[in-house]
Amino acid sequence: MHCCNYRWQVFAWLGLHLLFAPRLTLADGGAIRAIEKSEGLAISVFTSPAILTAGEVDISVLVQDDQSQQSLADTQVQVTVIPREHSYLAERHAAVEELAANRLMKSCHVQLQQGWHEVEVLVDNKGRRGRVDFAMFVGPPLGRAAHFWPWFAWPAVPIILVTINLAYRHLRSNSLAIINRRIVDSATHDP
Amino acid sequence: MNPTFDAFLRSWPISPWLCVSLTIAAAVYLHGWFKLRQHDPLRWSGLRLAAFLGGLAAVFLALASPIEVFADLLLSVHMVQHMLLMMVAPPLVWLGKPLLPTLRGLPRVIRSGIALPILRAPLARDAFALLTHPLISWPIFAAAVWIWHAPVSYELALRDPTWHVAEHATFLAASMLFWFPVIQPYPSRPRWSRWLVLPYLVFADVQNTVLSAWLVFASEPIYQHYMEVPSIVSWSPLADQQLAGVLMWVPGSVAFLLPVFVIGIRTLGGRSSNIERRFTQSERPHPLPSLPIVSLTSASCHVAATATPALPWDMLKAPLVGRFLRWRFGRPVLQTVMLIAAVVVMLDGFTGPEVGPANLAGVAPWIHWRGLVMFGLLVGGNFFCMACPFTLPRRFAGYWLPRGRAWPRALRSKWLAVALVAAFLWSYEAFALWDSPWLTAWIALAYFAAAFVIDGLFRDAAFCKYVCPIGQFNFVQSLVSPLEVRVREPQACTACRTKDCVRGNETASGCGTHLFQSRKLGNLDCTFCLDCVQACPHENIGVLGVTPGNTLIRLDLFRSGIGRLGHRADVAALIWLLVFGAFANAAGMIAPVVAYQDRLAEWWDISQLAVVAFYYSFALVVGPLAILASAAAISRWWGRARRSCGALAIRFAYAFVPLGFAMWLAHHGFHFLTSYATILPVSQRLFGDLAGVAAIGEPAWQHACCLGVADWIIKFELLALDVGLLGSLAVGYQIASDRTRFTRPLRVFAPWALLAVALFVVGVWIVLEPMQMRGTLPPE
Repeated sequence: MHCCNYRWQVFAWLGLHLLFAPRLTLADGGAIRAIEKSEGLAISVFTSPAILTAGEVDISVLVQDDQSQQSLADTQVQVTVIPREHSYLAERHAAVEELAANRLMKSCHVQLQQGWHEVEVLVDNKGRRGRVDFAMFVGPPLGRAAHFWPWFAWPAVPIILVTINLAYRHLRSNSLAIINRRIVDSATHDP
Repeated sequence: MNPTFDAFLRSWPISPWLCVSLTIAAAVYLHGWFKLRQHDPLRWSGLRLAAFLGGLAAVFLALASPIEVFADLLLSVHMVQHMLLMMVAPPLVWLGKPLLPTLRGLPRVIRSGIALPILRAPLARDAFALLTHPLISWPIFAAAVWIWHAPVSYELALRDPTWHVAEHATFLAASMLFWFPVIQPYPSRPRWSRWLVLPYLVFADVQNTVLSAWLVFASEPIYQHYMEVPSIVSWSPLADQQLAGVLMWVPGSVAFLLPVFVIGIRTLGGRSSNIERRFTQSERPHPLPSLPIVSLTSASCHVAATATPALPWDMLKAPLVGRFLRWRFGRPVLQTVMLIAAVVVMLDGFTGPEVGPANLAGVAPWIHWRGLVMFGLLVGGNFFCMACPFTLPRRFAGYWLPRGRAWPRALRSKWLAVALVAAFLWSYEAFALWDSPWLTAWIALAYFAAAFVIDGLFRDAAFCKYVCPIGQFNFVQSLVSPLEVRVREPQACTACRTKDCVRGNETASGCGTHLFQSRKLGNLDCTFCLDCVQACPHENIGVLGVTPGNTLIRLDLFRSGIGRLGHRADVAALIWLLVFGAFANAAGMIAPVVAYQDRLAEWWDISQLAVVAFYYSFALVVGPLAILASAAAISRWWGRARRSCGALAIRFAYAFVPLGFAMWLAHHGFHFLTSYATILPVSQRLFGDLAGVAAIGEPAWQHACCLGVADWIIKFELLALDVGLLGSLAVGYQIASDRTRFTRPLRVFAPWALLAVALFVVGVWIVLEPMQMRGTLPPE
């Protein structure tokens, strides 16, 4: 009975965890794209993934006081992404702390198409304003096979290991047989 | 509080897969530890549990805490992460003596089917013995530390997340190997003097000191990355590097030298530990006397594995569900519910709109029922046949029809069912049954009529055993289900003279498909009707947990009501049909195949019906026959098997049941998981039509259209195929390993393994291609 109660608790905890954990998965900083200093603000922009492909991209912004290096929490950050070929598809996003894994930063998630994009980051910290502009290239989207390959490729690992084990067992039994034969031979030829 | 430190405390990058893995590891250990502790509380003290859980907690802290987030910005934090992975987690995990608790805590199926074979594998035993030898594990550890701390590789790991994961995996694996000879966790035994561990640790400390000194005394930052990232602390990157070096130097030396003192003092005292000495002196029997000792290797490790003779889980003893199933009217209640549902579906099919996604007959059978049947087979067994509505009216058929004839001898096989299943697969696509509620309703009505007439004219369950295509599908797929109706205590059946389970008695009829429980093996032909449970006077029949697919191997055992599976060409043909049918049916819904069919119709100037007929005749008959003949011929020639090609194709058919099941699960699961919400607007529409008012709201048609395919659904499908492939390969190899029939098992098996891999590749291709969203409305 004690064991059953414990098992139920474990399953309940696991179930709750599975239910809520994906919602807590947050963006990470990623690769540094630009660092600018203006009006006493140091603004660093990161993008993730490091190699950008069409699809969802995380843009994180770290705003610090240029002198003290302290991060400035009370800051508004706007990120505008303008596709170079289709500027009418420009999108503006508010970067917020809740979307960032590193709570020093503010992040937003942007859906990007393949091609060059101009990015404009506007920062407002109690009247002190800063701006960072940079361009980034977004590669073609990963195909489904490239995206999901670990999910269908992993059976190769146990298959290879089992095959190696079978070959190893075969070799070992062969070498044991040779040793036994030598022992028998030496015993029979021993005067 | 400092804002940086405040942000640090709030930055938790929860990684679901890592958390789930660690939770499962902890739960398995905890389960096993509890069981072992009941036998020997002294050996399995709370300290062992605390050590193991502490080790897992260290991994969690290193990889799923603010440390992971800030490691990219501060080298000192990165160093703490590495220290946790190399100096804290491995020794703590080994101090928990994890082998026996983990083995004991695993479900029996996994323990006996996967874990123990791996532990017993010569390669695993010898490789582990070699890698944990101090002369091997020390250089591996040192190499991992030095190679990854070289600026080139360290920068690479910081730039690329994949390399970062590889770095952490290397550190953890190398450290696990390094600390094994130091801790020497029970039940492993040292193959060398404990004195050798002292220089082993001292030299490890020396190399650690040299590396630390390099970091501390460098005149400029070694890693460019930390110069480029914005500084978030008041000290410089060089000072941060010196702090990292000190962290590596001082706590690192403590981690190496503390065991030197402990082991030195113990070895000087001539003892290892109190508990080990006590066992040696008193020659006390093994703490698990009832459990067989499984020798992993003569020198390195002796494992007391656990094979407790406890009865498997019995669904009939489960609270509520078990009581309901044991209840005499349990099955009729389920059947009545399903009958009402079937009547409503038919009613809507005959009278409702002739649009599949807007009609209950276009949604409930083809999306919900098929999906739920597959999930039921996956987690339990043949629950649809248990609740089958078609066989409920047969109780009344005897009143009107002259029941009592025996089913014709010529038809007592699965060949009729094979033809019906093939005809159904073809007609499903040819007449777009999924999009025709009217035809669906007619099929259901015909099903009721056929069951009524056949069961009214012939005795026993002739319809279920020889005719019903749904039943045959469920019988085959339930061969890999985890539940089986079988006897609890075989000894009780040897004394039984009445055989009520098959003959019946005044309280219940016996098994309609003639399965005598004491000689029944597997779920083939079992409708889960539980008549045998009701009839058994000894209450010796249960719905017991079994190893999925275990009954696919012993093909020459005589099975009641079935005979020897290895001799049943009709059953093998049914299996092959369902295996190839799974792939053909799913492939018929993906864009490239549909486009190819359209082009074919255009080139040859023939109707779509003819193209579908051509497609299915090739995919279900011509193609499989050619493939099976080739595989069997190669298998026979290369493996020098003294059996006919037909006999080989029959035997290896059973190996493909897991893969076929996986494809059906992936396909039907996909439709269910992407379109389950369509039932809501359809029910609202039907209720509105019947009642005349929208009492349960206006139809929310947005739930029946424009549904996206989430990544996790694709992952689920691929995972199903992965497990299906591995299951098929495992069963196939065991079939080929029958030394009484095959002298060269690997060569006999090779062509079938290639066929399984080829089908798996086709399955992956199908899953990764866009599939028609049948049962949903188009966006307009």
